[in-house]
Amino acid sequence: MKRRSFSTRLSLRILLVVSVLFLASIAVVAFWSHRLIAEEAKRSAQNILNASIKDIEKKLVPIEEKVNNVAWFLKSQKCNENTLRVLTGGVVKDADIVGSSVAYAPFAFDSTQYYFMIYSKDVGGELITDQIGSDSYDYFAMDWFRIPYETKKPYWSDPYFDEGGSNCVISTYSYPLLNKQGAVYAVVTADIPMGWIEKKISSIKPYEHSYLTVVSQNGSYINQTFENGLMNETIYTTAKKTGNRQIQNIVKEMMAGHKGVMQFNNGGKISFAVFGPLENGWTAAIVCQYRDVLEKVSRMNSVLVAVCLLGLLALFIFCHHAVKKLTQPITELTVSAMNMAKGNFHAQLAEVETNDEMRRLRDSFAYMQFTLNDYISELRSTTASNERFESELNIARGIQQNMVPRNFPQRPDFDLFALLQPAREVGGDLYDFVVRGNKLYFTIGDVSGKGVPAAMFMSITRILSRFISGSEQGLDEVLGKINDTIADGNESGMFVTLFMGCLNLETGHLSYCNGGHNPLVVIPANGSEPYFLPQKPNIAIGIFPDFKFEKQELVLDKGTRLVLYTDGVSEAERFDKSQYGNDRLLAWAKSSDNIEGEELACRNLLDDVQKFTAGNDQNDDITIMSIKLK
Amino acid sequence: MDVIITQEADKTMVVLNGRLDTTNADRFQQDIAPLMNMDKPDIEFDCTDMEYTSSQGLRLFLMLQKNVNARQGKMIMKNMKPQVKEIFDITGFSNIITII
Repeated sequence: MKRRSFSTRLSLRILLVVSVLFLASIAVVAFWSHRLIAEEAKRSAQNILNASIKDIEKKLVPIEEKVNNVAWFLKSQKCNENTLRVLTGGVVKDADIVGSSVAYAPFAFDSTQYYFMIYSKDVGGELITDQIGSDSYDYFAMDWFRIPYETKKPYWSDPYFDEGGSNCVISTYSYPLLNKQGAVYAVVTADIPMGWIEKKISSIKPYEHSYLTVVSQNGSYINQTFENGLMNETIYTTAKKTGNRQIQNIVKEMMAGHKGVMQFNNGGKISFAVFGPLENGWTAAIVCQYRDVLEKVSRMNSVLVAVCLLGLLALFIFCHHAVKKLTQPITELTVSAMNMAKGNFHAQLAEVETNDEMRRLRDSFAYMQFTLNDYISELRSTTASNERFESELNIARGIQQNMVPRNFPQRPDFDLFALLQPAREVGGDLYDFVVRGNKLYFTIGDVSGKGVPAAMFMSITRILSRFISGSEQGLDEVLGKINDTIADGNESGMFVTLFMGCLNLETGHLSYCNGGHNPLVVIPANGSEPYFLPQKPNIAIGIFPDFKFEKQELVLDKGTRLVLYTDGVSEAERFDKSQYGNDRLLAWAKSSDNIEGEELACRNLLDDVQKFTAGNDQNDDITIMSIKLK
Repeated sequence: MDVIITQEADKTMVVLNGRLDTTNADRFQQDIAPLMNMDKPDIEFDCTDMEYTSSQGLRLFLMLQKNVNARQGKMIMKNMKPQVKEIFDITGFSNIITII
């Protein structure tokens, strides 16, 4: 996953919140504007409908008046055929009227005439007037006569094609004349072509897909005609065909002569119809689709959304830029931190000019850099001094290791090996041997404590022992002299345990003197039990001047092995603080008589001790010396 | 090594408990420091529960003994276990320090 920068994330969040607010606002605005516009559109459609109705009525009323006048005249006096011809001809003179008639009921004009109907028509500007009632023109069956005859009320007929007359679609207005008995004796009519009304109706188009329709009281369309004849459909059949309950309800309301506004779903297009009746019994309706009505406001909302999106984009760019600029110090401090991590502790920090959190971050960073530098330089000097100390210790270790003999003689009369393993870099153990004539002088010692103080004490002891043992004195005197020399001015209370022996390589005569050291182990050649050399402890060297040391003597058989050691062996400890001890040492000695060579013997004992301590830290210097008289 | 020092009418009792080795020799030196400033000290160590002493411990006992000698005092160590006594014997410290 790609990690986005802080500024991008923050900007996106702001953008998200603002987008939600924007979109919510737009939604509210869109909802209310749609509602208002829809209400307004309904109102305006109603106004248009009312105006259209008035326009149509304005056209129809003069025609009705003209017919009514003729009717009034006919009622007022008995007229002959000529008068009737003049009257109908006068009516046809009106530009909007293409034909007019006075049609009498059977035998009403003349008791001998079943049909009597005077009809005037305008044929290309020429007025033709005739009595046209006959068996071939049985007008009694026609709507324009029959309906007013029966209802005794004026009547506007449905549009019909006036074949043989004006040869166009017309509607006839009929006015019935009533005698004193209240029976209709004649009907006065006027024919008007539908052309004007149709034009008027189809010119009413408030929106692109909206239309005005006018239907007669029978449901026939006043305006919708085919070129070659009348449409068979009525508003009832249309409504039935749609199968739409809403439309059927609207038609029901319309045909009941009500006024109103109703909404319906016209095949997925939500529409509304505004309807109202005309005075003559017709009904008019305007149908509009909401889509048309709301087109402008929808377009406006689209523009609004587009502007918002542009605004959001601008906001995002601005936020991103601003946040990036504000967090620039963090980016720069990150680079500095990386540089510091690479070891450049003097990396230049970016300057922060604002006095805010960034500044404080930068200051703490600078402080960290400062303390880090301090710490590093301190560490460097400590490390340097440690290194110096360590190298000095290593040199001291070298010096000390060279103070004990490392080359062991290959001789026919005896075999000797020794090892010294300090617990630290330098230690307080020592051993020495030297052959003078037929005598082997050997020494082992252990300074109290360990480390550097013990090492210094060891050096002194080592030098004194070699120096003083060279004199032709007994070992008791030698030890006494060493003791006196070291005890002189020894305020530290340190001491050294020291064992010195002198072995006559020809006779096996051993002379020895002990200064508080561990008793050495004697392993006889004949296979009898190993034992500790009987030693007078006397006293450790360096604590009690003028002490009278006593020496001892013993004769060794050829093949006897002497094992000397310091307390690093006998007091070697395990984790549980139990010590190697004298018993284990004797047990080892007993098992060692088949070990050939003193080096092997020394290393075998060291292995045995280390096996015992089982990985526990060596807590004291270890020295082992093994001598075999051959 | 636990050190309990109690002052009785005519002597100072010191009870030692545990091991005295490299790891706690410095601590022991501090513990017995008060014993170094006494006039005509009479110190008695109870070593019943003392398990072990290294050569560094021996050195501190020696220092104390010398201090006691210089102030004309007395110091004895009592009830020492055989393995501890052996250390004092081998090094010859039994010749200097009174062990009963």
